[in-house]
Amino acid sequence: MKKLTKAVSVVTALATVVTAGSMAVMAEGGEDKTTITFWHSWSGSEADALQAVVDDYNGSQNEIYVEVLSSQTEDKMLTAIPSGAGPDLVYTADTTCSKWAQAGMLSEIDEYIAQTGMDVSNIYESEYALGTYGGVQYGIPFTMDSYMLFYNADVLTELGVEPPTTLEEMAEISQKAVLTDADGDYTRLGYVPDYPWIDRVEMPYLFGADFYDFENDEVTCKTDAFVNAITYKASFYDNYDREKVEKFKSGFGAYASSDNAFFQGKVVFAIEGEWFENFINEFASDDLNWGSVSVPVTESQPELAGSGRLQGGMLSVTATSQNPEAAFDVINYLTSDDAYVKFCAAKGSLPTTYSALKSETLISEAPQLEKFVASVLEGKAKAFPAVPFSAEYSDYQGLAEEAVYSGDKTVEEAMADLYDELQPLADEWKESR
Amino acid sequence: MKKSKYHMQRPQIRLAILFLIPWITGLILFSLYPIVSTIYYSFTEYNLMKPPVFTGLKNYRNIFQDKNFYQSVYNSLYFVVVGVTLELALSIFSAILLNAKVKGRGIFRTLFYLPSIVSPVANAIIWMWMLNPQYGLVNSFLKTLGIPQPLWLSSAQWSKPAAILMALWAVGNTIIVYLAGIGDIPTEYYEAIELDGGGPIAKFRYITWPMLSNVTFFQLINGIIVGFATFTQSYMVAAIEPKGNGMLGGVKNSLLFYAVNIYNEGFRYLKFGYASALAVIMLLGMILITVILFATSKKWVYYGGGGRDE
Repeated sequence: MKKLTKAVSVVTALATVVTAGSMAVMAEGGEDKTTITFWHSWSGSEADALQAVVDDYNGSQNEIYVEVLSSQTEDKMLTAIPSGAGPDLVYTADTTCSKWAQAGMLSEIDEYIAQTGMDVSNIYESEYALGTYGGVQYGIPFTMDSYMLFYNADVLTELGVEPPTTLEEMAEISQKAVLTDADGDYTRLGYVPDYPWIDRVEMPYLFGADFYDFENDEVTCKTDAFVNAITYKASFYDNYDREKVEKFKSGFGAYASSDNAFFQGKVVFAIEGEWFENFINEFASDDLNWGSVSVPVTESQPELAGSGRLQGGMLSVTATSQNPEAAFDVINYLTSDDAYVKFCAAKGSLPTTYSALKSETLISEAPQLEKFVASVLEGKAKAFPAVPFSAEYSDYQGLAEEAVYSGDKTVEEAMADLYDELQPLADEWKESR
Repeated sequence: MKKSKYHMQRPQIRLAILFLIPWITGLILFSLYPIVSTIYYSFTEYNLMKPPVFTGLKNYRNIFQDKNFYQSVYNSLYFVVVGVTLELALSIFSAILLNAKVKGRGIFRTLFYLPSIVSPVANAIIWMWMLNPQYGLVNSFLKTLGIPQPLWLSSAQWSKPAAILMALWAVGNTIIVYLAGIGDIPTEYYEAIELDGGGPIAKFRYITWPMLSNVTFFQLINGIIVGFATFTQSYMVAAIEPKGNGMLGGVKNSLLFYAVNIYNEGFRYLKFGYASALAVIMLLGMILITVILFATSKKWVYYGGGGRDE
């Protein structure tokens, strides 16, 4: 029994040391300061860009200390928030915000917006709407991705063509660009509709389709425009050998590496966001000759030019935060002009406030953003609607597109089935309001 | 056989309880409580944050109209039936070989066991490269033999066989239990069959297999339970871009195993009540399978000592 007592006392002593250690870490934040923990998903240089502005904030006042944790997945946030020991402030995908708002994970922030006098009319409207759920605000947009068509300029020169101005031209060039080896395996493709990710949002918008009809609470994946968009994407697989494309794709390297298929010249076209030039500079070889144009639209609907996809990232205060007011103060600082421009120029991403978008410093420090800013200020691009079943929408649509590409279903059948899967979720949502 | 009563002395009882406390605490906190609350949540709509709303049998009714449920049951059954059969066959075969009295037996045993200590995540990553349709070792080997090369994880037909292959690599634990079982078989039995003129097949058929039936029985139940809980392969395939389609279920949901579906419904779609109901169905399914196996075990499982059973 004596030995046991001894063991217990050793464990207790150890525990005391560990606790004291963590207390010491906490004290680093300042004795009287309120500590706000901020979780986000970035890593590497993108995380550094954020840390720099957070350091500015921490140095600028004596009330609040922000502790940042990078590389945090939403799965992890999801389990941490309800525990009460999770973050005060989170950065999430736009489609996550509405879902988490519905689930009660996020704090209502209207009160703080009023208190701090944040000028919400300065925020890009459709992005701001992504933080609204049931008429209440739950998030402030912090990043905004806008897309361009990046092309391999050497290949276009080799083929003797100009960058495409219509989707039809893009399909035609893609066809010409295909190269195979002696075994008939692909060594180069034009545009791959499901690489680097199955982009489920861009193409329907470019065809004038919508995802959700808020007036009638109806999923709109069966409309002609939507069907046309998927038909266009599927048309690439009418000409490609699907199995061989899968084989070819399996050899593509990691996205954020020099092995990226676009950097390697394995694909000629890629629809990518404003971050991509930074990636090219960081990862691609200097020999890569590339260019970018607005993502084209169809010949028959030139008026839709610029109506592609916007993707937002939101800052939200969690429902379990002990200091929601202080957490919102951090959001307020991060989206204030100077800090915002500094962050966006360093990360190479678009701000969501008009004043920051129009800032000359932003363009002079990150000139690659100019085209994107111009396109965004045109105001035609749209984000995926803030519905609480966004994850289901994306997954089910991905599966429906797969079924079409592999020839299991026609586009009409696949979209009708998709509707039957999603509409019950829409109905459920309607009932719950 | 009657056991004589054995009186523990008080300090011993206290000591026993003391030693049991960690285990009992663990059982209550990490097994019993979650199981009971899962059953409770399965009758509610629950998303972790808001208090659960009682919805009666709604979740259970929805399950049977959910095509993902059927897809995941099919995927898991495929994985378990094919996977566990192969696992048992491979393990028993390897165990017999590793029991042979050859030089360097220890080295062979170590080599066969080694993959089992590789973490499942590392295992998945290694196999994803081995099975890569373009650069993978497996396909280049098949190519030199002139055999068609499947797309493995990039195809709906081949993704489950690929997942099974990944799991089969780590059968070391099963082999060890079989090895121990073989070690327990008295050598006189083999001598007897040799005297009767029996060869290796007869030895396996009449001695090894029946004498190992209790081990097989344990491995079977264990394999089925572990098989239904398969998660890592699908998760890794989805996590490592850009090979997959970014979805946990893999190409055409062909890797949407039962446990993966539960995870999706809970953590991705925030339907923890529904996910709990799926988990309860799985628990009931496991209990049913185990009961059936136990009922049939009397016919084919032999326990050494005093005859079959008891």
